[in-house]
Amino acid sequence: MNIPKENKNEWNAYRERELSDLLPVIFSLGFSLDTDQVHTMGERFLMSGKKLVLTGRRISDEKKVAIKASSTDFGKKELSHEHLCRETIKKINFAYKPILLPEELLFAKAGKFVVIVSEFIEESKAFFEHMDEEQFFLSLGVFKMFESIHSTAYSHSKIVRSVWKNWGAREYLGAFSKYSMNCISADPTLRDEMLLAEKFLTDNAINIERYSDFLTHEDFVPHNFRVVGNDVYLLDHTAILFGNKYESVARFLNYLCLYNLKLERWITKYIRENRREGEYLSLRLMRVFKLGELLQFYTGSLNKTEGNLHLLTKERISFWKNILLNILDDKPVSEELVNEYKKKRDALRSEEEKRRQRELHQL
Amino acid sequence: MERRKIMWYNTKMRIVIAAPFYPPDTEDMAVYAKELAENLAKRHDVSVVTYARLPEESSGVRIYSVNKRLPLIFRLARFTATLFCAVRKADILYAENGASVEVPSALVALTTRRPFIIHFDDKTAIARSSKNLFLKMAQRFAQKRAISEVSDIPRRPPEILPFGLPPEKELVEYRASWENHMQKLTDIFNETK
Repeated sequence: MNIPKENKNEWNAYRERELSDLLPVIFSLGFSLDTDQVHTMGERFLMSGKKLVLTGRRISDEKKVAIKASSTDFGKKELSHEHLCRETIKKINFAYKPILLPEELLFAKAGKFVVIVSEFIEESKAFFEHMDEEQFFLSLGVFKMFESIHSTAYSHSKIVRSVWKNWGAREYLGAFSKYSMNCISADPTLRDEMLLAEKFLTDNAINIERYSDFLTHEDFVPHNFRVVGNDVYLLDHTAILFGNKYESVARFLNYLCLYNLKLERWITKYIRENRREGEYLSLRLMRVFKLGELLQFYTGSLNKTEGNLHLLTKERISFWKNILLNILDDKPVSEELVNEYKKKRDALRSEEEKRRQRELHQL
Repeated sequence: MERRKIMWYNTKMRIVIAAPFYPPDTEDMAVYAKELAENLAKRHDVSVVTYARLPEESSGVRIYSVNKRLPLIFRLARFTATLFCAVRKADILYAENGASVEVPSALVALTTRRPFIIHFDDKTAIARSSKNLFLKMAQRFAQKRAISEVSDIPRRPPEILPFGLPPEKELVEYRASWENHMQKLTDIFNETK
């Protein structure tokens, strides 16, 4: 098992090199870095994108800031795109409700780096520390905000196409087909489930298309937003796209299976009882799509991991496969299944990762 | 009143609804247009002409959609032509306000000589037309052609929360507001005969 170590070592080497080159650049721009950078640790090396997400201070007034920086072509492109997204969001003239973003304090191309410094949104308490009812209304508020931005007209599509991905049934089905192939080649035991899921999506392609053209967020989970009072600030703008109305809800509900099953059931029930039948189906379709994406991520991690992390990856694949079957059968997620998985996960997670998760408010 | 009500319930009419929005659009007007179409379709032959790429389906309702992604002139022309074809064989044209529907509806009513009723639901469109001379003229043109104007807006369905008590009172009020609205439309439609 040499590959896994190389992956982690490669990331660590990249992080050290990048940080030492970045430090004087950040200082010259009027900012300093915190000593402890938890967002670069733990299982971060498994995630894509060579860019650093750091915390620091503005030297002039000690204001806490979030810093994103990269010197790689891919990372620089991603950061420039993030900047463009932020600028364009302000110009969307067909939004009924505004999208709240942390203020961008600096966007600079300095030396070999592209750097974005934005205001660090301090939460008085983390999302999951709010009462369940508050969590329900906060998340519902964000989903309604996303839904209010529907790109339907000629003028809308001109703005959208120049900046964001615009996904309809064809793109979702194409992506799922790749997820399915990758999952099956990495773990052939997933074959039946992935083919069943693909059929479910293909049979309902028209539904996916019907509820597309809405602003959505492909990674809408609590560590990508901050709650201040009744307002929710979005952090990761690169994950914004125009696609199915329920993509962000689906990602959030899948995530809630692990972190607040009661809220997952409430939101599912709310959509079933308040929205039209086709919309509930669209939610299930998107949950299946997002689960395919997640399974691809974990099956792809199998050859990058070793020891406990490898065992944990296998447990994750088995857990999410069972959730996928639940969604396909339109059955509620079993609490027993979740608790059993959590026990195994906690026993197998490294201390470093547990720390990273605490910082992300997930533990 | 009772006699007219009986007439309404016994006579199947061919009604065309012209709507700028229709679900999956999330605007209140879209929700209203679909609910109205479904309510009317219980007893009448209902068609909807709307701007949408892939509108939601409703049983018993024929939907003709015009893609909003077309440039303005083309979509207005296509909407007018589609509406003309639908209204030619209809008894009533019922249109939502807003210039993109008002002007084609008034033109179609003029050429087909079908009774045309306009519903003032979109407050944003009303506010916009008060500030824009062209939109104001479009609205006046439509009002002149309409045999009746409706300003009544039924309630939106109350949200049913997954916790706490169900909103019984709001549900009763919502159903009552739709019953009243349908009654008002019954009276107006019967007057067109």
